[in-house]
Amino acid sequence: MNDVVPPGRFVENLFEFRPPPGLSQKESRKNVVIVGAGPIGLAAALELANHQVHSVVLDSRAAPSEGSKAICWSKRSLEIFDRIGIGDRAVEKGVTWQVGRTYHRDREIFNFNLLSDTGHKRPAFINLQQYYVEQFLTERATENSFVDLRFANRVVGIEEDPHSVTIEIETQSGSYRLRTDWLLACDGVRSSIRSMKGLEFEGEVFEERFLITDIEMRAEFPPERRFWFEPTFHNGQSALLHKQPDNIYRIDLQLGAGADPAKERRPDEVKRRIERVVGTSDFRIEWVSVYTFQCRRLAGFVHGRVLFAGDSAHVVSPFGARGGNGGLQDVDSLCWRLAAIVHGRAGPELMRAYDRERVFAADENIANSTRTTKFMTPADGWERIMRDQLLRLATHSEFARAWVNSGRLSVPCIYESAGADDAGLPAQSRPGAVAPDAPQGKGWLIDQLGVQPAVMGIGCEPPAIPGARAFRIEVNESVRSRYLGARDRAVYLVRPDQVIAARWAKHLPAGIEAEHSAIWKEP
Amino acid sequence: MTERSKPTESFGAHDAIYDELLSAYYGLSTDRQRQLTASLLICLCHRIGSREEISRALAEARASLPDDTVR
Ligand SMILES: Cc1cc2nc3c(=O)[nH]c(=O)nc-3n(C[C@H](O)[C@H](O)[C@H](O)COP(=O)(O)OP(=O)(O)OC[C@H]3O[C@@H](n4cnc5c(N)ncnc54)[C@H](O)[C@@H]3O)c2cc1C
Repeated sequence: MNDVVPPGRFVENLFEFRPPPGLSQKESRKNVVIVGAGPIGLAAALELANHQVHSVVLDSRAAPSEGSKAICWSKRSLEIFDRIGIGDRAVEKGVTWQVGRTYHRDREIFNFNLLSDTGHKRPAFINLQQYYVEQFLTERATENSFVDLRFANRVVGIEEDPHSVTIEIETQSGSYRLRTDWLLACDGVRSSIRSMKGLEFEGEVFEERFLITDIEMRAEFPPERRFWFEPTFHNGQSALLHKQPDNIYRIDLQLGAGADPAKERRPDEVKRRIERVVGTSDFRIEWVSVYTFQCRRLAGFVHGRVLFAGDSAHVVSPFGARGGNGGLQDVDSLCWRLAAIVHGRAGPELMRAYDRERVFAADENIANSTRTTKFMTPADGWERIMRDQLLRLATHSEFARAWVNSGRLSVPCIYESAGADDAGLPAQSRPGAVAPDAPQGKGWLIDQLGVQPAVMGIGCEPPAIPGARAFRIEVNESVRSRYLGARDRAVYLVRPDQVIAARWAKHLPAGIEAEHSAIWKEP
Repeated sequence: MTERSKPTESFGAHDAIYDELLSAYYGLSTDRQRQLTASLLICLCHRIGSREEISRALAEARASLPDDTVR
């Protein structure tokens, strides 16, 4: 729908075309070229820069991206944002929310409060329009000398050999080529790199249509996620309401599989529906679109020298906010490994570890998102009977409320790990899990874990090993419950992506050097 | 027969449960019977708790379906 003003709050020349050197002379071979300056491509460039790796980022756009896409950013994403320099801005601009309410018909059946677990630097979730995230990242990337960001540069072809990829790029002033050791395809759900390579997504596509709209409205709605099953204001379909900054509200309305998208996008039609949701006609429509959703992925994310991350690799329905957040975790798993390969510390086979971890994670995200979508859009027959009965049950049986699935919000998965472990230590910080945050004096543990491997001594001195930062952390209640459990001391080895590699509570710390070098090895 | 059915358990208990299951459905339309089954399944699963047990029960139940080819 185009009578909508795209977010015009941006420094325009950020996205301006500047003739790349390759138009006038052959450019030197690159270590990494990233296709796509969406949130995932930009985050990857900045995280690679944290590891002293140069990259060229190409995007066909010459303006901020438009429209209603991601709004919910998870705690883990905010921690990643911190590392790439936009955490504070995102949290300041964003709407922090903790409460989610789920209704059946017009009655609340339960609510949850994400803040029940305190002692973390970052909240469980903020809402912030994707175009702001992209703007903040773009500004950072523009300032960063490791990142060479080129808008209005469209990739139109690739040629591969075993050790490099040659990329064909079109601009308004002509075409040129770049040769690179690695190509990172962050070019989104309709990835052109994916089609150039003839690769296809596998998985489920849902027929149900959803109307996604952003409206501007002065209203004192609390910063809460509200989800309705079969509300009377929307004919037995489901509805979701989220608050965003700038008095913008996101409304998702299920339309049913038979809906006519052209009709549903008509302003009068949209207005009529929204009035019933918000109970007023005093709002302005900022953006409308009609989506169908899919939960699919590539069979593998590593194809020789071409690596897929973000929506080009996997795509989910948005109800658990697992798309963008999952993609940022791809960046987390990928970049330190790619940096190690570029710096000669590891061989290209280390990319297999990225593939393994993120395919596993994508499957978890896909499973969660698929289940939610099925719950929201049950097929006639048994699926519908089960769903409706569960909703009825939930109004009077407390246990059933947890079974009601209006979205299982993004949390990082716990990777399978063969790292040393001790059964007396808490499960949440086992090898393969992201190191849980905890307060440390006036600061936070997560900020002490940089992009280098770390050895943490908890209630004891950590051993010094070459190439890792060793430090002792303050033991407080959060640290005790998240890191010690039944033990009184422990040593933790943490990977560059803040994932726990191994831990010891007795025989401190037998084999730590082997565990440390195993981080960069792919068995 | 499962290993879990205890030989000491009196037949009386099974018979009473079976009876209760039948009684709960008497007088309900087919639609309402299916609704009750759905709710009951969820409640039972909640009470059993273990995913493994539930999968086993499901497998046992499925095995009891009349053969498709015969039907
Ligand atoms: C309605 C909706 C709601 C969502 N809500 C959430 C949410 O709340 N939380 C969440 O985490 N996720 C959410 N998502 C998912 C999220 O928007 C995506 O996961 C995210 O945009 C993926 O980022 P990306 O960088 O991989 O791809 P994109 O954002 O799609 O970026 C790809 C970039 O590649 C560029 N490109 C493509 N082809 C070429 C080419 N040939 N040459 C040069 N450049 C090219 C494009 O111009 C684009 O800028 C939502 C999605 C939708 C649709």
